Amino acid sequence: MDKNDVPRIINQVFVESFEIDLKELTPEKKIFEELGLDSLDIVDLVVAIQKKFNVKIRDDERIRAIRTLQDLYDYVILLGTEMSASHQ
Amino acid sequence: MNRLLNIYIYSLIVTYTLILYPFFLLSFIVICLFLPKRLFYRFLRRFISWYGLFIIKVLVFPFIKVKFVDLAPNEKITPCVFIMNHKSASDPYLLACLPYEIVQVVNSWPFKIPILGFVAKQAGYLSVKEMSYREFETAIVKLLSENACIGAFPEGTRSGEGEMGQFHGAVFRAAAKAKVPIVPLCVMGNERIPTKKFVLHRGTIKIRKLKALYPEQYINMTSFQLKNHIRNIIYDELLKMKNEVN
Repeated sequence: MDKNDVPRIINQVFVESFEIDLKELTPEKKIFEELGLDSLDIVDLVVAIQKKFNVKIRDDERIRAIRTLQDLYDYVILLGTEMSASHQ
Repeated sequence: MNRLLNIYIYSLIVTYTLILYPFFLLSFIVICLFLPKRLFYRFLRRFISWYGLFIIKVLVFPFIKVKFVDLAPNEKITPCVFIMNHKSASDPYLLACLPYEIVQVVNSWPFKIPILGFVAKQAGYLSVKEMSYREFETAIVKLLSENACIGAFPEGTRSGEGEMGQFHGAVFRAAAKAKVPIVPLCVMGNERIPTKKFVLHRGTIKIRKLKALYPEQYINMTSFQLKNHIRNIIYDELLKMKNEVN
């Protein structure tokens, strides 16, 4: 996973799954207060991200700390790093 | 002057609740012990509505007036899910304007209100924070199949004088599962009736019941799209209402 691709791919998930306009998807945007995703939407988002990045994140407690898009980008990048480290 | 108004109105409401409500409720329970369970629940929920209706139409009049307009009076909508924006703590009482058997979706704190909380619980009101989504969905679908309507405030928190908040989607998912109409309701004018610190002010509260959105109209929407569609409908109508005032 190239970490430079992560924001673009995550934004793609938001556009495809939630039909949110790409120009709304700026890193500082708050996922609930500004983009309108609630806890049930987050479950759908997690499923979509798992598919896109071929990762497993459903039971990860760190998801609870995610508030903004940037938090989400950072989390997925961190997952990628952890996965690479575990494969070595 | 406003302090006197608050003392007057809250005294009336507390007196009404403490003295009259248990009296009527006991009578109802005695009568309803002889009725089938389903009829008991129906009467109890309508009784809660009448209790609320008396407060909003009689007790607080003329200091606080409530004007309800049905923009689609001839629609056959029940059972359905009513969705209302959430301005203040008076919103649950305002649902009494609707002449239907309604079960409200609430946060956990209303259940802690003496007498009212107990009765709401007996009437099957749903505390969304104390249930898993699966339990919530099952309860909603069951209530709708029994021809009860659901009343919900999907912002989950009072917006007061601020902008309408984002909607939580649980009740929309459940409505879609049950394949029932969703009826938007707009309320304005009660931003300070009462305030977040429960101080009442004089004013006129306006409620509008809009046209229902039927399952065939939302069948191709995701739940995220559905909740935002309803939110946009309510938002646009509130803008219209605001412009009419100005």
